[in-house]
Amino acid sequence: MSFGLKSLMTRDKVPVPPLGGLIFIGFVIILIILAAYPLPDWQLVSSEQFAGISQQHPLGTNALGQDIAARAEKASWHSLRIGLIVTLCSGFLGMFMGLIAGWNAGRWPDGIILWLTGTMEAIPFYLFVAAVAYAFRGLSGSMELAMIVTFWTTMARLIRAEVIRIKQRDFILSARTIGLSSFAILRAHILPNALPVLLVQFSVIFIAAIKAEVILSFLGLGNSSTISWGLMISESTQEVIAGHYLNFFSASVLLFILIYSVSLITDSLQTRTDPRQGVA
Amino acid sequence: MSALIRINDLSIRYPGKDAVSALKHINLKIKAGETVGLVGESGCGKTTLALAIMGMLPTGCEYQGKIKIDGKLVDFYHRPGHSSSRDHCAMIFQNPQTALNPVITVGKQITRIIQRQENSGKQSRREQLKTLLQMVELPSQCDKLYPHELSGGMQQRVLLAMALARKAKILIADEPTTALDASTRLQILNLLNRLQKKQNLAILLISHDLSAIARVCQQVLILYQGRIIEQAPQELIFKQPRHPYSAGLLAAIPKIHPQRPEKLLTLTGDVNLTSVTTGCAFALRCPREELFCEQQIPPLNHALEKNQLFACFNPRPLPGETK
Amino acid sequence: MKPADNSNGVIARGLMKLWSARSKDGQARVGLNNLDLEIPAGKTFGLVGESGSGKSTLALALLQLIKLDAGEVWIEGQPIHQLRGKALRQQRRHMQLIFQNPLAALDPRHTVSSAILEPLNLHNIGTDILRRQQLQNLLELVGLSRKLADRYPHQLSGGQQQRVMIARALACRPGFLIADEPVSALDAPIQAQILNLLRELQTELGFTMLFISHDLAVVQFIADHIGVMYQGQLLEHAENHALFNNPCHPYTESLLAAAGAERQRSDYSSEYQDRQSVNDSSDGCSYVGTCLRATKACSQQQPKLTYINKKAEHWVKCLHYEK
Repeated sequence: MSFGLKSLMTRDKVPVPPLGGLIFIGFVIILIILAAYPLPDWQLVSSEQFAGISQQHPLGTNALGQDIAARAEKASWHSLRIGLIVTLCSGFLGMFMGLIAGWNAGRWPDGIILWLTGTMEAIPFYLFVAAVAYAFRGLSGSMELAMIVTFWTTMARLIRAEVIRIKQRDFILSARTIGLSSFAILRAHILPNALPVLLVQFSVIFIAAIKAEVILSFLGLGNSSTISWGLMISESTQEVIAGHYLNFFSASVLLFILIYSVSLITDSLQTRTDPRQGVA
Repeated sequence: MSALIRINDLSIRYPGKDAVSALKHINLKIKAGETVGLVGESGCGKTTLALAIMGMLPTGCEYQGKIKIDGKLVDFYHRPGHSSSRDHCAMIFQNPQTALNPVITVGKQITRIIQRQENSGKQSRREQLKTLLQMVELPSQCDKLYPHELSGGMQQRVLLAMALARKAKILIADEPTTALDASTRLQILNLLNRLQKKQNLAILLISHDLSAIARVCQQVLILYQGRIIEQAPQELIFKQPRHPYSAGLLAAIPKIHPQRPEKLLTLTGDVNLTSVTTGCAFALRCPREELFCEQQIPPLNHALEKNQLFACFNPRPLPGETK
Repeated sequence: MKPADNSNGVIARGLMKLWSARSKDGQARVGLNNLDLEIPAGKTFGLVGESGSGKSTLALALLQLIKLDAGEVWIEGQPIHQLRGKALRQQRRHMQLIFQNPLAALDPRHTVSSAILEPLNLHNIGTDILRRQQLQNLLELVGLSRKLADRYPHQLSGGQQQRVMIARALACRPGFLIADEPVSALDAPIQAQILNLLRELQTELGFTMLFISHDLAVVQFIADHIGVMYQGQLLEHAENHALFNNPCHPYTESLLAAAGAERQRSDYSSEYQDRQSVNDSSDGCSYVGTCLRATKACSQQQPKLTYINKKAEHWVKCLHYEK
């Protein structure tokens, strides 16, 4: 192929500003400030209902007179924790399943894993979570568990497809000719080339987990012993009608900042880890 | 006869920070019934020229100069609804399988083009399909087959039939035989030759395979880093290449020797598109380099033979000439 | 069990491979059909054949990268066909492969230096410092600048990529090297450079080589012995000059004619048609459908490999060969 056609296909360098990183750092700084600020306990019910912004309550109070800033801080940590736990557990679970299935495509390990993903995907997610949450209602991690068990399937499918695609390339054969074992080929050649898909899928899981948690706690299926953005938004539905927006805004703005920054960070990571995009 | 394609001082630059000029000051004429061969190593701008004629340049290219087809100025970018070079030109590719729709039979793919050309009845379409297949020397039962059921040579014939169905006057063949076996390669080249005579086609044959060029072309252009460095009738260029690069390229063609050679003659070094020199782009690889070669770009001129143009200050001597 | 003679070269006996998957034209693909091959140590065996003749299958089979249905492979006295798992992986450093398309064969995410160092690190050859030094030596050996060590494959030209591939293959000083169409994706001048390089390297390092190509001219330059492959069988093999001066099998003759005819500008006779009739039955010569010299006997009995000339190691598989 001559040079002309080649430069048609490789995209020019896209300069990705570290905007996502900046927003994420901003999010963490907000949390640190909130943590350092002397706030009342998030559960403390007081008589000051719907108090406006003041030194004592930087984001006001809700219908029960509870401090919104304290609740928002607690909810943010809760969301981050769920997001990270679910992403790491189900992401790596999916990755390993995908690698095993893709490398052994057409043989029995692949068959079992494909059957498992198919079965998991056939169960309606919210129904499943509700069932798990009900079955383990005594345990605090029931929601996380339900998400981990269901979220790995897309990752497994995508990685499987990616492994099958990369496996057919000549450089994998070349790696075999120098005597690399299957495990070493997966680690040194297939995984790095599957990195873009991997990164995107990790962030997709992170975002999906946080959103699912918000929706579940909004529906009242969440963990009742702690506070979450979903619960705050659910409380605020009545307050918004009465003209009190602080609870609603603080929860949804924080949710937006976190999700937006994560997707931006993934974009730039993807560009930066691809040597063909210029920045190696 | 006047030229079917006329290219005037065409230069093209690709967009981007480290932009390279893909083509520099190209002048070219192709008459009906003539085959022009475009030779050069990968990266010399061969495909860019083909894309420019077809109006298929990537967006954002800088360009200068004009392309006229049949006397009409051509848009560098194809806009739907506007008449463009595509009404007259057809292109065939190195890899015919990727240019054919895998889920439609080849007969149907050709018939669709006939239909777009003229609204004729079913019977006449079938007749036309039959003649087209005959013209490209395919058995008529091939129309029921899918592209993957045909060999590479047969797929290339189907693409040719599609080009003929469009009543194209100009055929751009971008490395049409590179992916084929030796014997199939000859058949396709001969078919090109015959079609050209029958249909009075103008063909631009792009190839790095000089033996293919020798079989079908009347005029040969040799491209080096986006510039035409030698242009001559086929007989002359193979007999007495004047530019040292042309000579090196010719010497490097693998050929069967009477005795097993000890070493193959070839050019040293590698094409490096990004190195911008003030002088001749070939100077650093050139065995006949002189002092001023690196300071000035040699113009495309002719010496004794009026129809052999070459861009070199110190050309190879003609046979019989000293030095 | 171990063959006594020629224990340092490569010996393959009775290689059989049938692909279970169906190919494009719906017939079961013949991979290898009872193929014997012997390459004396330090020599180059050139394998010629059209696409689909099983050349690449043979390469993969010799390196045990695909499972054989039957047959034995001995490389440098080692029974490769008996090795499994770790023993086979450790043996791999002694037998290496160079690919047709170097850009596809190099991991896009590994730099030149990591591609070349990978086999050295894997087989734990030398210390870290020695390996860095070895890297410099290898780069120099294949004619690459040290500055390229930190580049990625896509930043190199085709010729440079192939040189990196060669350096990687030679890093562990293998005794046996297979080059599968290593120059057919390259431009003619670069092609000649790489061929010269391979021949120099062989003289210097003394490895045994199997060189696969569809181009007779290329094979004439590089190979000491030449084999002509068709439908998974060797139809003829001989020393370089014997094969070119005295081709005995009709298929070899047709290949030589096609390669020679390409250089002349004459209308090609329809002697070599598309291979449409392939003899699938196990008895009879596989070339019978296309052969001009075929008789009734050809389709009834499988010709045996016959000695023509002992001195030139000339063998042919044909009932009607010309002396």
